[in-house]
Amino acid sequence: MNQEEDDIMWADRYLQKELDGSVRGEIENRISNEPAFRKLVEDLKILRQGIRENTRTDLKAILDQAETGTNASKKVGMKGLYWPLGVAAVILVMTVLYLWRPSGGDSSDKVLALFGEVFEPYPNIVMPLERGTVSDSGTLALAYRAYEAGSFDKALILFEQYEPKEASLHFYLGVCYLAKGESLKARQNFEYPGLDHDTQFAEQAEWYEAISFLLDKDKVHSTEILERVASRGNAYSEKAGQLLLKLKSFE
Amino acid sequence: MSQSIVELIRMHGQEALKNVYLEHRDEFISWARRQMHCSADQAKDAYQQAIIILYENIVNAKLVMLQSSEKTYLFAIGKNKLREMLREDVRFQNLDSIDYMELGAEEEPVDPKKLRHASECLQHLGEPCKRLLEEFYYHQSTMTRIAEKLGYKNEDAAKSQKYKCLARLRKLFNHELVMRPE
Repeated sequence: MNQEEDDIMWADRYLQKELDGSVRGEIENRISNEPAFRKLVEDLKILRQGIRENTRTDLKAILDQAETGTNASKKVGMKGLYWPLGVAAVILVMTVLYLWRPSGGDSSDKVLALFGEVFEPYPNIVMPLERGTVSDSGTLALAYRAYEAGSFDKALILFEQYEPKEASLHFYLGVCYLAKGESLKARQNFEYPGLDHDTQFAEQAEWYEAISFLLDKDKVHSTEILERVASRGNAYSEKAGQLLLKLKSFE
Repeated sequence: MSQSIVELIRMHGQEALKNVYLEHRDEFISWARRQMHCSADQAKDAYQQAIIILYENIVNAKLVMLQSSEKTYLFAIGKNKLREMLREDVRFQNLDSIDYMELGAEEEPVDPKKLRHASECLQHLGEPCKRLLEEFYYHQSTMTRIAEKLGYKNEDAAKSQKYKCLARLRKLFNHELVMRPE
């Protein structure tokens, strides 16, 4: 655990009211005397509530989906017009049910959990945001700014709009899709023919393609690509080797 | 519905929500329109809020057993919500006395814009972080249970992942605030 995660742990335990006596006193001292720690505690308060709020919104969406089957919505009389929404609703409900199915934590769930451990969006090295400079409002610049800010939905729309799409753009599109959990679309971009020969992003694309299979709980394909990455002796080989060991431990 | 709402939600969580919702929906809306002179949409909104309050109180173990019937309990919360919504006609000064925990009652008030932003950042965080944090902070699952559900080696591995997820969420939150100053 690094220093930031350690501070988060103490701040979180403080907010959870898990600390007593002198330990609690120490944390309260830090809140009074260390502005950065105080800011962390304030951020965590908002984030914890934001998480709850988000779940309530998800629950409301489930109830709205239930509404589509009631008599009231049948009276609307615009049959046909909204059928794509109906299909989307079914997909959403099925996804929710799938995610909330009772699970005993089998090895495929462990494979999925590994994705969370290893996935980090690749830094924006194409058009890094420089603070204090006049900002470029072109589509590509806006896309990279959104990407850098972690707004992957927005970045996706802008990247998709931009033409012509160079290999690097396909790479970042792939990362965006991966961040949204859309492994298939991510791979379609990582497998873009130009990326094979792109000296700047070829290795990265191969690594991200390997971990995209973890999202699908597909150990076989992930292992296959990771073995290739591990044997290449590039910047990702060590990470690939470690990941392979973890995957093998699930057997 | 043969099982009680409390049992159903405790056992099946969100999967049970749709059935629980539909069980008394039509009756509540008819009753509310007749008794409270509200629109069907207002009645539906109040009923949805009542269901979410009920769900949250059950998963947070603030409601273990219903003293009244399920329907009475739900209708009482829905009625109170409707009265708040209709912004009080003099006839409705006193809300029904019923014991339930309001949404977010134990939370400190925070800037709604920041709260909305935090919620958006969670959407960008992706899985499995999103689910892990929701399990812990909303459903109040123990770290042992979360480790079992999400396939972590043990409680410590799940805890360590939780702090990594929080660090990533905070990074997104502050990054976006820099990008979109109020």
